[in-house]
Amino acid sequence: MAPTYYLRRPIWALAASAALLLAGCNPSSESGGDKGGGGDTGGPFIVARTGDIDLVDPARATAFQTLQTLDLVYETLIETADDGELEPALATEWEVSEDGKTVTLTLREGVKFHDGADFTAADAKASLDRVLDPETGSVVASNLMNVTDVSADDDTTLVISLKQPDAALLNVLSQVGTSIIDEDAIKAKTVEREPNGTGPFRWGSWDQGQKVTLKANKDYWGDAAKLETVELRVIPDESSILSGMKAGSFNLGVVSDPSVADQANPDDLEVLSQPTLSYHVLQLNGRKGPLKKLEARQAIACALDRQQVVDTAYFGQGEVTGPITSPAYDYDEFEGLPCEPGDLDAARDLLTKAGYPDGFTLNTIVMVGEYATATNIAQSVQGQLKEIGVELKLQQQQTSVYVDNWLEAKYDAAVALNGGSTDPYLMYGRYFTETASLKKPAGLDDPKLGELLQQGNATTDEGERQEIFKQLQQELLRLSPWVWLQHNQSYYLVGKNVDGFKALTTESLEYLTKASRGDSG
Amino acid sequence: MTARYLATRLAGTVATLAGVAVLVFVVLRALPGDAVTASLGTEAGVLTNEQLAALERYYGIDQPIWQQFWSWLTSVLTGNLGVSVDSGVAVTKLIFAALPVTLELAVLSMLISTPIGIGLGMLAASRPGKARDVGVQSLGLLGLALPEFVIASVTVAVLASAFSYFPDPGSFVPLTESVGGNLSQMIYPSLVLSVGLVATVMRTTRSAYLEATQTDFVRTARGKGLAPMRIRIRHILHNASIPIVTIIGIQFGYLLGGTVIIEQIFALPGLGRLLLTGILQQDYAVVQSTVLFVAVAFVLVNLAVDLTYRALDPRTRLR
Repeated sequence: MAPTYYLRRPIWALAASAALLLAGCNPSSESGGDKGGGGDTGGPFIVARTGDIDLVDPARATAFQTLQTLDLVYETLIETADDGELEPALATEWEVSEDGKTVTLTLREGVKFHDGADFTAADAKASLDRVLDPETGSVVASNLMNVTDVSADDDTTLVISLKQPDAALLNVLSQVGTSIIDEDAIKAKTVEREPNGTGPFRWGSWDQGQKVTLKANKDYWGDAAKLETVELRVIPDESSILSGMKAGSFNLGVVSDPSVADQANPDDLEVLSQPTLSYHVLQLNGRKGPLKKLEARQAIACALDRQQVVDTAYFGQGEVTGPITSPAYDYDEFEGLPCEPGDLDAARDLLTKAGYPDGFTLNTIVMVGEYATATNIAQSVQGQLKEIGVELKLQQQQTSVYVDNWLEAKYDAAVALNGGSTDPYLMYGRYFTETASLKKPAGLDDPKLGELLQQGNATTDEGERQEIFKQLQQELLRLSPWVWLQHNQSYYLVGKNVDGFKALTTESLEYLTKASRGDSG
Repeated sequence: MTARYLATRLAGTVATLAGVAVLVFVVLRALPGDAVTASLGTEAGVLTNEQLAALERYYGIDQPIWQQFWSWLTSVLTGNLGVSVDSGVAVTKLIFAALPVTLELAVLSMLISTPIGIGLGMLAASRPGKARDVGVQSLGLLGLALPEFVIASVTVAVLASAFSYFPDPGSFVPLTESVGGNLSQMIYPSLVLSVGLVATVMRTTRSAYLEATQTDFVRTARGKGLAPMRIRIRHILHNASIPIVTIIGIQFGYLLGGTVIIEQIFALPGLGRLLLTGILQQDYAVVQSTVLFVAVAFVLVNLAVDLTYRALDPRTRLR
C-alpha cells in the first residue's frame, strides 16, 4: 500500500480547489474583455503581433511594439516620408539659422489633443523639456545633447537653441520619443497612464498581455482614419498568427520569422516583405586579443559571404547591407573593404599578415528568444569562418544576460540585431564619437570615425552630408570594427480584403490610417 | 490536543510562507539585469547616470534590498499586493483575472484524464505481463516521455492546418459568458495537458490495482463466488483508490501552480502567463505576489485537508 501519511489529503485538495473555482468565476466576467470581432467586417480591424506593449509613455518607449502603437496615437513635430525624407507633421515648416545654432519651427494651427485641448507651442516646449529632464529617463535625451534651450515665442513658434550645429536634430524630432504631449497632462503626471495625443487614433484600452484597442480620431487635422476601431492583439506564436490570418480572423499579421512568412499561401493573403532600418551584424571586440589587429578583423569581413547568410537564415529574401541603412544615404555595401566578401584566399592572406595563419577562437554571444533568426545567422557565420580557421564559440543567451554582457563588451564577438535610423549620425554617433554612450560595445576607438560623424552632423548642406557619410561608410568597412550582414526583414501578412496598407522601412504602422476593408470579405 | 495541533500547524504554515517570500524575492534579484534593462534592452546603455538613478527610483529598486523586502512584506500583510509599475494595474486585479483560466484548465484536464487513466490502468492490470499490459504500458511511457511543449506545438500546428484553429487570447471568453466560446479555446490545451496526466494516473492505477488483487479479501470474495465485475469495482478498485486519488491530487496541485508552457503556447491569459511576462519584464511586484498567492492557496488547501483528514480517520488523531 502507499504510505499512509498522505493517503487522503488530495481528495480535499480537490474539493477546496473546486470551491476556489466557483469563487473565482465572478471576477472573470468583468476582466475577460469583450469578444473579438472574428471575421465580421463590421467589427474591429484586428492586427496580430507577437508582443504586447510594455508602457504607454512615448518618451520612455523603446520596445518595438510600444513604439509602433504609440506612433498611431501621438505625433511628432516632423515625420519621415516613405523614402526617408523629412516632411511636415505638427510643424508645418522649419528654418535653421545661418550658424546652425538656432532652429525655428512654425507649428500647425487648429490641432487638438484627443481630450479636446488645443495644441500650442507651449505643449511642444513642455514635451521636449520633459524628454531632456533626467527624471524622465528618456533614451532620446542622448540625441538632444546639443539642445541648450527650447522656447515658445508665441502659440505657433517654437525655437530650439543649440550648443553647436546639429543636423540630426530634425530627425530626432521625428522619433516617437519626442512625441508631443499635452502640457497639462505633463503637469498632472498622467502621461504614464493615460495616452492623450494628437494622432489619427485615440486610446481605447489596454488589456495587459492580450490587446490594445484604438479608436479613430474623428477630429484629426489630416485625413481621418477609415477604420473605426483597431485592435492590436498579442499572439505569442507566429505560426498561430498565420493560422488566424488563413482563417480570416485577423486583418493584418506582423511577423519576423521568415519560415512563417514562407509558409503563407498567396491565395489566402498577401505577404509584404519589408527590409527595415535595423540590421544584423557581427560585432567584433577590437579591444581584445587577435581582433586588436586590423588585418584580423578584415580577414573576418572578407571571409563572410553575406548573401550566403541571407540564403540560409532568410531563404534568400533579405537584403545585404553596409553600415548605413538610412534610405536617403544609399552607398555601395562593400566599397572600402580590402577584398570581395567571400574571398577566402584574401582572408587567409590577411590572417597571415595579422600573425594568425592558423586562425583563432572567438567567444561569441548570441541573443535568443528575442528574434527568430538569431541562431540561424550565428550558425551560418560560424560555418563560414571555420573555413579560415576562425572558430566561433557560440554562447546563446537570454535577453537579460545578453544585454548585460553586450553593454560591458564581455565578448570577442556578438551576433547582434541593432536598430538603425534615417540619419547616419544617429546610427553611429552613439558608438564611434568621442563622447559616445555606447563606446564599450562599439569595440573600437578611431578618431577618423568620430571626426567624420561630427563633420556630417555639423552641416545641413545635403550634398556635403552625402559626401561625408559616404566616406564614413567606406571607413567603417575598411576598419571593420564590425561585419555588417543584412537588413532585418519584417513581414506583414495582409488580409485579402484589406486595401491601402503599406509596409515601411521604419516598421511604423502609419498606413493603418489609410487602410480600409472591402465589404465583400 | 486539537488546539495544540492546530497551533503547530499554523506556525509551520507561516514559516513555509515566509520561506517562499524570501526565496522568490532573492531569486528574482539574483537574475541578471533589472527592471531598467528589462524595459530598455541595449538602449539602457545610452542613459546618463542621473537618468539611470531616476528610473531606479521609479521602479523602486534604488533602496537597499532589505528595505525593498520590508516594504513589500508590510504592504502584502496589509492586503496590498502592489502594482505592476509600467501599466499601473494592481497585482490583485491581475491575479483574479488570471486565476479562473488556470483553475478551469486544471479542472478540465483532470476531468478528461482521470477516467481514461483509471480505465487504462485497470485494463493493463487485468492481464499483467501480457500483450494488453505491455501495450498500455508502452503507451503510458510514450505519454510520459513526450514533453508537453512538443505535444502542444504539434497539436497547434495540426489543428491550424486541419481546422483553422489558432490560439488567440483576444477571442478568449470566460466560461460564465459563453460556454462554447470558452471551450473552443480551452479544450485543446486541456487535452494536451491530459496526455501526461493519463499516463501518470494509469501507472498508479495499474500498480495499486495489482496490489489489491493479491490481498486476502479479494481471494475471499472470489471464493464466495461473487461476480467478477463486482469484485473488480467494489473490492479491488475501491481498495486501490487511495493511491490513485493521492496521485490525482498531487497532479492537480501542480496544475494550480500555473501551466506556464501550455498557457504560453496556447496564448491563454492564466497565472502561468502572468508569471512569465512578469519575469521577462522583471516586474518584481507581479512575480513576488503571484508566487506568494499560489503558495498561500496551496498551503491553505493542504492545511484544510489535514484537518479534515483527522476528522475523517480517527487513527490519524493519535499524534
